[in-house]
Amino acid sequence: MKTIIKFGKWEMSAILINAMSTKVFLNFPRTALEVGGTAGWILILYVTLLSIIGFLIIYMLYKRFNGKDLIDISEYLAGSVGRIISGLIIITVLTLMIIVILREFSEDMKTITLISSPLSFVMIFFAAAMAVGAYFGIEAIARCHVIIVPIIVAAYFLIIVGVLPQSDFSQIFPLLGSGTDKIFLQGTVRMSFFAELLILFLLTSFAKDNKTVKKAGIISLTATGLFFLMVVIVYISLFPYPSDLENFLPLYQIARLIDYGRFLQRVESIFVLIWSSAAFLFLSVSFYLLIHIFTKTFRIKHYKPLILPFTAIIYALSFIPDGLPEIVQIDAYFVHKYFFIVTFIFTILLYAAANIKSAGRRRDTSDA
Amino acid sequence: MQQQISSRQGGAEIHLMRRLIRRLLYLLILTCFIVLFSGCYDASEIEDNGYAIAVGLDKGTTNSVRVTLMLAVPEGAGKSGGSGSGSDAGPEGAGSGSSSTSTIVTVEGPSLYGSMNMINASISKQVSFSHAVLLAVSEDLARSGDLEKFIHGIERGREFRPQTNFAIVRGTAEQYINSIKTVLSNSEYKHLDLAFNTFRYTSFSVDSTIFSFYNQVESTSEEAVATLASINKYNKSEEFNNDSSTYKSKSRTMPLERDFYAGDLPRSGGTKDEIAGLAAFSGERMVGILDAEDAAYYLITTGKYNHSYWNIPDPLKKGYYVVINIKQNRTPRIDVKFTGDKPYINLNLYLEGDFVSIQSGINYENPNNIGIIENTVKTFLSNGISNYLNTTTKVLCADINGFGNYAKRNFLFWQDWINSNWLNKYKDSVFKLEVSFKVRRTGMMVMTIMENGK
Repeated sequence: MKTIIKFGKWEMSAILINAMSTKVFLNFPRTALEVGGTAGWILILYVTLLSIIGFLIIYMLYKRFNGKDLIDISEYLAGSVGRIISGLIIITVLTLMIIVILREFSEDMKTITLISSPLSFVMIFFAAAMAVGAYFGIEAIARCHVIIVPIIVAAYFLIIVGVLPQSDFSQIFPLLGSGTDKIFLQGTVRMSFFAELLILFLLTSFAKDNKTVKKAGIISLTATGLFFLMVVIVYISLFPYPSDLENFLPLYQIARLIDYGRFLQRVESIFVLIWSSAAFLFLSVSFYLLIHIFTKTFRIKHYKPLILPFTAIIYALSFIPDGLPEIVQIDAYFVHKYFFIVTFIFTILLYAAANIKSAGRRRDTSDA
Repeated sequence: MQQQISSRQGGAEIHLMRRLIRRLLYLLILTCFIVLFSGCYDASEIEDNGYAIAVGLDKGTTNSVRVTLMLAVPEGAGKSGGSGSGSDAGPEGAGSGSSSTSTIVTVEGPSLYGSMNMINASISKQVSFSHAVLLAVSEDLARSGDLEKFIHGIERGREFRPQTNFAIVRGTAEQYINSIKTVLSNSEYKHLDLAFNTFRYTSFSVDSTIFSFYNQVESTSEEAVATLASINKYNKSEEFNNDSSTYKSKSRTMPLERDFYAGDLPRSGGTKDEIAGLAAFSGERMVGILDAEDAAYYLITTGKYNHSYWNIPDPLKKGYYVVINIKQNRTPRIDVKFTGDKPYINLNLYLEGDFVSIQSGINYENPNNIGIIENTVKTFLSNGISNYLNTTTKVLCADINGFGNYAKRNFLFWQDWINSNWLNKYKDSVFKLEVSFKVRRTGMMVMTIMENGK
């Protein structure tokens, strides 16, 4: 008998919070300030609000298709062709996300702690965690999230609160920073900061019911928006604009500033721990979903035999970017700039079309 | 039936085989863990590194920069090393001064990290800056503007801690580092760590770290400051004089304790290194130094002041002082407004104090008299702070206080702020200063009785 795995809102929220928030450990605060200047925090408020609205629209359209993920909907809309096209789009997006995170975390780890180790060696650990996570399956991954995400969040708060005495909040002036155009028009594409919300629409088949999806979506978007806001405000209050654009690992630089005499200093070691945990979790869930979507798209019965070859492919693809600057560019100017198209626009269009088709069928049935 | 039994046997064999493979796999994983996690591959033991306690940068004579490193000597090591100074440099330019817990090496190279390479090649350990407590730069190098060649590299590297103290040295950094000796501490590290934090209770200098200095240098709304350090010029008390004191420029008849720059304090004995005053920058170029009193005013006006003793001339008895422990009651309230292009800066300071000593014995503790002292302190501090602010606008032309951070509130957009060119406009600023001071406590006495019960 096949076991049916179902999550509650906390499992789902933990997965989504980690997936969307992992970037706070990377280049994200710098990117936000690069777009909005001293008003980077307003940009975050704005895109968080837009993303919540976007999610609610998707949810309204999704409601009728309880438990159906994007692949199911595509199949419903256009049969196998639809399923394969959607599947390939999602596989591409997930692959890119995984490659960026795998390479960026490994490069950063090499830069700050494992400076003498070869990149290939550092990356093996992240790749191994990803493969092991996928091997044990989504239930184990979800349980790990529920245990580890609160610890990561607590450590994150410790870092943020720890530097508050050194913060100078007058640095948020001039209030509108780079200007309203850059924030509210050009900044709209930065809904891509929440691009990982796509995971929710791939996990819908594991959700207990519609309410779980709705609650998980709202909780995770709000929590992530709050984490983004906190890190951006604290970062700008510590490193005056525009010198804050120099650092490629803002939260690490923030953690290095914590110094309470001889009793509490060098807490960046905690940072490295929570940072790698967040990366392990994100990689596990997205890698699992990559294989899950692949098997679903191409109607493959078992996913476990795919783990090793996919790990090898992802590992190899991660070496394509020349170096850290290139991967940072891909992250800031491609993944977290244009991926909102898939997460929000593609998803809305797909569900909207499915609703139209469904309404049409019902009309036909009632006419008959 | 026989077929069933053989199929059962076959199933058991497969099961056994699977268990065996699984166990072998676990063993393989365990072996991998043992090999990979043991840290042997690129392990770096503490005793393999040479930890720099203090780093000094001077202008080089044979190359761009002269780098002086004070390296920690672990307990038990280097006992046989003789004492000396950086001037004992050998033909390679590397000298070795030493005390019980440190040794000093000086080299000249094209950059800080290039010089570190040269030192690495000549000592048995790999130099690490991760525990450096001081980065000292000579006044000469700071004034030349060449500091920009090094400061970005220091910030980019992961080695230096952001909290590493940053100081400008009158004279050469090499001589300064060679002058650092342990007297009251067991190690130079501890001595420097404590010495650069004395401003918290002396207000003789400022809190300057690599982090704060770098941010100030890069800022569009404030200029940088650094702690001023030097070697004390006196060997015996007979040599004391007030020639280099700043008291005359303040129309005082006798110097107060803060009327000195680092190196000029009339003292002998103890350590030769000394901290007093601050160095002011405009961008990456040093533009001037301020004495210990101005350093105190810098702390008070920026809200970074903690507490310290002040000698206030007795208003009713000439030649006598009232010693007060002055504290910051609240952070200053600062407001910057523009009239046309001219900045108007309102500065409200809130201070309080406790009597430490009343030399004249006048009963200032009496609520009827306490106002006399409060007004005297207010006038004393107002005059001092006004002179200090005047120096920053008219002499240094550098907003070291960061009033620009408040001026920014008048702008909505970053480009407008940049166009306002604050750092150039600061010199035209007009100040309105309000100092509030209250005596809160009178020490362990509530009134003073003169000799013979007068």
